[in-house]
Amino acid sequence: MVLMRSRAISRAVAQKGAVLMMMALVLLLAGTTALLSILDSSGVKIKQDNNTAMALASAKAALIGFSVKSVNAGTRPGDLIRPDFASEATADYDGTADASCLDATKVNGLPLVSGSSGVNMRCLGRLPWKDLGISIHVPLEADPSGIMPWYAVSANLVDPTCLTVLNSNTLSLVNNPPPAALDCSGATLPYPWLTVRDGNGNILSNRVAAVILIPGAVRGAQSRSSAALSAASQYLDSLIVPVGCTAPCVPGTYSNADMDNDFVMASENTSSALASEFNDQLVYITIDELMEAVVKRAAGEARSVLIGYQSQNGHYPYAVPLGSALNNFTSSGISTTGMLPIDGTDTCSCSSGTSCTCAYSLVNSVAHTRSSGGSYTVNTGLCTRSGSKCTCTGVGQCRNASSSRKFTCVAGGSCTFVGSGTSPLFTYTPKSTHGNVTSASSGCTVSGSNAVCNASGSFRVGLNLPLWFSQNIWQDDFYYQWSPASDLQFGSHGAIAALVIGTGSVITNTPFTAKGSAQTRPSSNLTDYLDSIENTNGNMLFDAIGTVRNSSYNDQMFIVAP
Amino acid sequence: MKKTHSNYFSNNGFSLVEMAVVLVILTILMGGLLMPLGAQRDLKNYNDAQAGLEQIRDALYGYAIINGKLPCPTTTANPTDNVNYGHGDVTCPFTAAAGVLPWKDLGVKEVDSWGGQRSLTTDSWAGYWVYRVDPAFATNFSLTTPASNIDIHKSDGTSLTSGAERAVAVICTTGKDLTSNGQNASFETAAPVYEDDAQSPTFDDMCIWITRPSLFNRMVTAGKLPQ
Repeated sequence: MVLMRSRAISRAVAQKGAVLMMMALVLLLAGTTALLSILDSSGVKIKQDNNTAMALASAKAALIGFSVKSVNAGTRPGDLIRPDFASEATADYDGTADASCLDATKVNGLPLVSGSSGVNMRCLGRLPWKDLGISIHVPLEADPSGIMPWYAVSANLVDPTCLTVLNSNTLSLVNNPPPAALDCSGATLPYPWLTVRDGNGNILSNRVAAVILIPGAVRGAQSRSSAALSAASQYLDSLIVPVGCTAPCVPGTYSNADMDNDFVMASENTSSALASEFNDQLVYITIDELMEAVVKRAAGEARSVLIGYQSQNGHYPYAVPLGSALNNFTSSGISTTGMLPIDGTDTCSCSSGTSCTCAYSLVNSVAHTRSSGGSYTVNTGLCTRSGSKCTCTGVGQCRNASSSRKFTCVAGGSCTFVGSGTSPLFTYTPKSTHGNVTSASSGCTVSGSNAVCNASGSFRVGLNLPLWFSQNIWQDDFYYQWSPASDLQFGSHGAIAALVIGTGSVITNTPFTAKGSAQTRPSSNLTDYLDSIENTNGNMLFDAIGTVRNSSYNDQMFIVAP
Repeated sequence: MKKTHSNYFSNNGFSLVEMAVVLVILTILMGGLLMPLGAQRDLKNYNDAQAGLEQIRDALYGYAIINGKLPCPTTTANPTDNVNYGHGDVTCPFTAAAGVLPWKDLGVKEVDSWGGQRSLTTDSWAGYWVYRVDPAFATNFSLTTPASNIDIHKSDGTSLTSGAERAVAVICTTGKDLTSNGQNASFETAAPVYEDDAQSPTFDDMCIWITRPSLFNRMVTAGKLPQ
């Protein structure tokens, strides 16, 4: 008995330690496994956040790129794309933009409203990733995990009905709060810009052109079954900032899905009430940021054309004096400083193959040639003749002896041919101070630097800038200067032959730097266009390229050449 | 003495049965930890390949900014040809095969996570980055150059690009099987179609593509377009 008890005790003593060791080992292994799984899940979360941030950044770059390159029919640089909705007929998010935007007064905003229908137009839907050319490898229609990006855009940038001119002066227009009806006067914005708030309701920006959102996983009562596909509220979240919140804050309920112009950008762990209900991630593009990129595009177009003109004519085109009537800039012929000589509205036209009109201020000469029918024998006024060709630089006439064939030019540049002769041709040579024949159509074609017309048609004379440039009056937005001595200078960058400076919108808020008061345009005073003392002191030295812009300085410097 | 002898044995650990049970438990626990290692290696390879594709895309943006165009693929097979091997061809004929990414022009990794470097002209191109470019963008292009050449499909045939905004360049990795799958296995001289989709037992390629909006954004920001 004694022996048995002794054995039992000694076994208990002996095995107690070993079992503890084994238990410790097992616990260690279990703990390591648990730790690894926790680390792994936090790693997955970090990776997801990383992917979301990258997706938002690439979507933003694609959107700005789309806006900058936009020259499709009915669009212009600065315009954006409409969202992709799950329309009521076939509920699909196909990655392409839909025809119009939502009506905020209707259930789910459907049916869509046309652009001219009024103030309730809201543009919120999925990002049209296919039209934007975004690499989405596995697009999801129902998107249960909320990885497909959503997109809201200010109606100003998808509806040109009232905002007929979109350039950097547009930045100075305001419309907040929106009026009761669409304002097409051009004095204010037709629609407001979007507003983005932080998690405490404070406004981050009320000049937002577009917002890109990634909804994340379901929150609260959200359901992403196919029946609820079209409801933005199944994807996008809202956030409550309670009364009595810690200042600075603005109490209220802010929703990204409620089809207003207000959006909220908060972290998932915001201190606001119902914080756990919010997990949208978003980036936004302000109109100022977007326009900075568009100005680069416009400046690039101007640079390209100015270089082309210089190579053709041996010098840069003469500038337009400051204060010229807007939208009809004709080259001064003497000045090297001022605005871009766009001449985009100077049109020449032919009513038929025998009658054309083109002002002598635009062209050096008009030559009229018949391919058959005998030579001219008499010329008068400012016309000369050579065989069957008559060249006029002003009022005059060429004819044969009997006047059965005659070519006559009168004041104003109207020229007419009477008589027989196959394939009559009008050949116009633009003045070197103007530049190129542009937009030749129908019976007129471009031939080298000349325009040739043999039937009803038209052409324009001016710098060969794209039509959207003059239609949106970008010539108002650039100061232009060139120097035969190539002694212009941006900061320490010297030996510049020609430059343009984006003037930005008018500065109307203090502090005023160069002018000392609010800018007004048009004006003959440079301080109404450029903003710093350095840029307005009339010498050859200007601010450095990339000088930081702020509320009282928005000049953007560009070298034309070299 | 006898008692002591008995204690001696009982103090010296476990029976064979006890040891066996403990070893079985340990084996199960260790197995649980080690089992996913193979899968994790695969995952790491895919993540590396994905990162490689993104680096190549960035490099192509940079190349376009510097040169005003995208490079042609390289078709030089001889690794000892220091002048041409790894560098893009002067023109992009696309008459026989797509060619591979000109990694030397771009300064990126030569092969994907699974590929091995070639040393002989007769070596296979397995594991080299597949690269196709719209010929209109392999010469100096403008903001109005259309992108209507390269389409990307899902496995079910639906297009991942729109008619007006096709890819201007596509880069693919053939994945773990070192073989182009699906649409990527065929070569079209005109109107090429590439395929990208989730990984599946029959498809493990990964593609990334460049389109005009993002490319033009960078070109305009850099002051390279319009020219």
